[in-house]
Amino acid sequence: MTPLITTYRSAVTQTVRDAVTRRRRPRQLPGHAVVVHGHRISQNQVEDYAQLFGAVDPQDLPSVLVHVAAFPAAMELMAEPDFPLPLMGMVHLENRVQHHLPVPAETDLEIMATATDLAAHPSGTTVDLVVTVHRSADEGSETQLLWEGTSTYLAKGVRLQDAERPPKAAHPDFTPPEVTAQWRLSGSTGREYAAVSGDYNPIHLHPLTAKALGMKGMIAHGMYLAGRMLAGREPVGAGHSWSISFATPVVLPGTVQVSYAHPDAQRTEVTGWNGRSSKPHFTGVLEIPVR
Amino acid sequence: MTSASSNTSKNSPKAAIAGGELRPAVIVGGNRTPFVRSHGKYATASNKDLLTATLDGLVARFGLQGEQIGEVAAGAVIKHSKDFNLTREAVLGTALDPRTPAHEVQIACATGMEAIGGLANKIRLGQLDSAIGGGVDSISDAPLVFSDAARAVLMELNRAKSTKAKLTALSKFRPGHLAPQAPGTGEPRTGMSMGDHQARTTLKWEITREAQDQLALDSHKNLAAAYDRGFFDDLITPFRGVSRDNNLRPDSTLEKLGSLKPAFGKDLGEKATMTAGNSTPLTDGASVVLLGSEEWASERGLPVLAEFVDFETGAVDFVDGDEGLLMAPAYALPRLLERQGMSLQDFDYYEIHEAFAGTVLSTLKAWEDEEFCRTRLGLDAPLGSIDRAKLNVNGSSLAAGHPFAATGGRIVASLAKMLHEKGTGSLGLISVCAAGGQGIVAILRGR
Amino acid sequence: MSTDTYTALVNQPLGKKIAAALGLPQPVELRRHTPGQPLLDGLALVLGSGPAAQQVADQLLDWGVDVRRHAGAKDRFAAVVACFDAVQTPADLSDTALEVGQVMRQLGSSARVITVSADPSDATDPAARSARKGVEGLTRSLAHEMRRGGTANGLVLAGGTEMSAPGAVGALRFLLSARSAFVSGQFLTVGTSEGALPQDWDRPLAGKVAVVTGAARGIGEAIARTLHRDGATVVGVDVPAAGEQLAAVVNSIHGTSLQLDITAPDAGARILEHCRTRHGRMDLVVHNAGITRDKMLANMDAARWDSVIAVNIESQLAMNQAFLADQARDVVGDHLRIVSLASTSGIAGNRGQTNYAASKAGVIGMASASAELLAERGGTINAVAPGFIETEMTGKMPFLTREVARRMNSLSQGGRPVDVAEAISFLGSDAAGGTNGTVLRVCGQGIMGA
Repeated sequence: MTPLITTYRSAVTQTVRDAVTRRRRPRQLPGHAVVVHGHRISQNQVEDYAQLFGAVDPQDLPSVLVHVAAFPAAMELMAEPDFPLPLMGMVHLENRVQHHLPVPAETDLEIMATATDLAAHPSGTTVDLVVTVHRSADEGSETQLLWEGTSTYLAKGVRLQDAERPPKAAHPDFTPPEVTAQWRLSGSTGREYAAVSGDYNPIHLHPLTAKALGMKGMIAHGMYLAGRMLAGREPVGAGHSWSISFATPVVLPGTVQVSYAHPDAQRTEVTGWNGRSSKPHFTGVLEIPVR
Repeated sequence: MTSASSNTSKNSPKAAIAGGELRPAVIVGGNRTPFVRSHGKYATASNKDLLTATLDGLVARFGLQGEQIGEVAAGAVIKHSKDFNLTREAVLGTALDPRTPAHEVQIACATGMEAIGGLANKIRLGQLDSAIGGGVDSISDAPLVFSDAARAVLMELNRAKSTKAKLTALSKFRPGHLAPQAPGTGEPRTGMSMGDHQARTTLKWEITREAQDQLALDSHKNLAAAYDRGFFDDLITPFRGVSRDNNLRPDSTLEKLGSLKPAFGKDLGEKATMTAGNSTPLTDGASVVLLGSEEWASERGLPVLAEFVDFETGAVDFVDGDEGLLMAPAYALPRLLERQGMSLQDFDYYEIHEAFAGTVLSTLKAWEDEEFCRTRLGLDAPLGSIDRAKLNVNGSSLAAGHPFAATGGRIVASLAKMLHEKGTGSLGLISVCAAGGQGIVAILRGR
Repeated sequence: MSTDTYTALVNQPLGKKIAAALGLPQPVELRRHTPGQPLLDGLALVLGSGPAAQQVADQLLDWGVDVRRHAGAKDRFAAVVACFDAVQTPADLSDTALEVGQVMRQLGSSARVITVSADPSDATDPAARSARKGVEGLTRSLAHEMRRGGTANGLVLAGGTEMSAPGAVGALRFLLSARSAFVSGQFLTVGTSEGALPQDWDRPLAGKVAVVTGAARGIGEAIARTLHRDGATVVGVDVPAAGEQLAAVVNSIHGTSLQLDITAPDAGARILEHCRTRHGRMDLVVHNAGITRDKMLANMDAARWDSVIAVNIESQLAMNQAFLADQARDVVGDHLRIVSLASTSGIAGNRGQTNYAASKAGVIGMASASAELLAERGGTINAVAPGFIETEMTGKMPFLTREVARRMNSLSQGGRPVDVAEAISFLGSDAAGGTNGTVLRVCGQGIMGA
């Protein structure tokens, strides 16, 4: 798999080339998938992840670590010259994961990434990147679906030809729920997660590079927030599903007010927001079937 | 050679642990250092220094030089990993017989209570004739922790065998790694400070700012009055030139307390009521309590102030806000009362640790609340209210300060003396909340 | 404790020569008591024709001392006991006095000259009283003439007390021994045959429970340590603020600590309660705690005056009352001994110390007035008045003032806290049972108030 950092470099080049040549991108998603055979999540990567989020069972990896390992396949797809949306400046809107079975480290995995659902959005165009993780077949066993995740991305200001611009949905008033936790995120959070995930998007690394790309400041990775949200809460043996959708970015360093609520026995609703501005950062749901 | 404490003598009755009768565990007395705001006068004193000096003060008060005590148990909430055998090391530095065994205990702010209660049980069972329990904490001496990244590099360096491997490890070191991380008082699972947790409980129980400030004021006035009448003369030994708790503000007023800005639950805006004045500051100090069987005490001409009757530990699920972090004692109490066949109103003194004024008031309100007692405690009727004139009558943590593990010993020794002065059979109740959603309640009976 | 560099210096060969050449005082290291040491480092000469001389000689022999009744030309003496008990008229002093004079050059270092005489006030005959009084003048002057750490003191037998009485024997031993190193030019009066001699002279307080106030540091600490060395179980008392040092002292001498303010109304009761529950008895009380708040009287305020009076004397009066009350009889033994710290300031007065001197003179008054009360129950009360003692407190004096103060006595040096403690230990022992209501100065015959 191409390291993410190379992907970003080529994405920047591509963006520059597009700007110079005013080349028009195709309006269709690539019909093919990016497939990686025999990928292994290394013990080193597990340890690095554990440094950031706490102890990890190498036979039953956290969902976000699986995402970290598998997502470069989706990035590769998005970085293809024919991809209809520019990789640079894409905004991560949402993630939905079904974690069917435990994903072990140091085991051959089949990773497949496809892009679907190119759709109009009030601010541009969205696309879903679907990544699946299977256990590789070996003697006497079929491939087995362990994990599947869908990441929704928004390309701001990019319009599909002929597509109607949907009306802006009214922002519902956000009333912060009762705080049950606080995350104090240091200025190095972005760099630390980048080192673990390989996602060296400059908006996470330094205030200056982030501002150069139009951000208010250096911001936390969305998937870092997902990792924090789930840390210590995923069930042994998997079988759970979860989602997270992002509202406003978390500027680093910063404190996130967090609420965990349990409307019923299998559902945990998580909200993260800014205590000062009372603006929501994210909402998440974790579903653990009662067995 | 000092005779070892044992129950093997043919004349002594059979120990309860061996089928005999339970016997009372009595409190002979206690000793503590003055409590001092952190990073102040004790800034260069280690946990071991504090605990050793406190034990030595106890030894001097009761003439225990060269005595082989059955067991010493004490702990510290925040301590160096080098202090892996803190209590034993402290004992070895005292005038006690070096053959006195010692071990450590830790249950956050209830450490002292657990140490003392556990030892009392061993005495009751006949496993010990004498014991010293207590705790120490020095935020000033708190270990500075390197970031995980720095630690990873250092550990790799440590594992590296060859020079090349060592250089590789060293090359990963970054100047930023050197910035140490200060220890936090935040709950590991929520990242929230104890004060921010309590702020939510305080709000939930609708405890007013005025009520909290009044409790804080009473604490300061009561502690100051106790000092003035010499109450602490035989409970405290000065340390490093300090002879009084330096958080004490005898001249505090409601106006002064009322002028302070909220320090916790600031996100609650107008509803934030917890200030530095009605919350305990970080404090350094140590305390110990001398316990024994009645025979052990009388053989040595030692006073008997009170009997340690019973104690109960509770825990609540605070992580996602099901219950307030510091509400565990509210849950532990009904179990203790039922076991002892007592009611909340049976006591002559109530010692409710003032982690925050809001903690004390929320706990009291919860015991008065019909619905809470029914749905949460499973009781038919509320536990009811207490006579506030019997609450923390010689001051508590808001005035004295709260060196986490040392608070239990402070309370037990003071309450034992109060009950002794009140008279035989008088009853005292202790409630101490602790980090991690835990807490201990205990009963003492005067002698 | 401040270091007496000068004394150390002039005890070096070169320093000694320089000091002699310049006519500077030549203080020597005084012989001090250590358990197990012989009573005397050499011969004792006993002079005099009365009955006391033979009794002293027999007693010394009993203690294993090499005793002479006449001086040989080459003898070196560690002690001379000159008995003037039989003098009837001043003319009778001559023989014995001149005999002492002849051996003055034969005295060793830290030698002792002890005069034994009858109490002048017991004599109604003018000639007899003047003769006895003459012994005092002789002794005091001789003390000034002593060299190389030697001292001269008087043992006064009052009320017809025999030299064989326990109190007289005890006083003789104290004055001969290294325990009285810094006592010179003083008189110990033995007025009764009360008291008892110890089984072991190294542990005269064995089995006794002693309370020492102000025991955390300085002279009080030395008293606590000395009483413990001499066999007592010590209850160290000091203000709560001194508790840390108090605990350290008490733990090193196997005692118990009691933190209290002695001016509290219940101080006496609390001390009694402590002794009752912890030790079952109280045999000896040392009122050592005291404060100074110096100011010229013109600048004196009420706080300074009143606090010194309250701590230094009123507290002692109140505590003594508690100790002597009937309710205390279960704790306080039949031979309660009280020793109270006075001061040479209380005798001679001192500039800037009107309040302190008033309190310390008051202590002397208290001791003499309480003697009767104590005697009724076989007890005693005495005061000890230290002169210049090397303590933390005197260590803070300006260098010159300290140098002058420390040399203004016959021994040309300051005393040590232990010197005061030795006197207290002696007066607190049953061997001093014949001495009551007196003041003993531990001042090296300081010129202040001489």
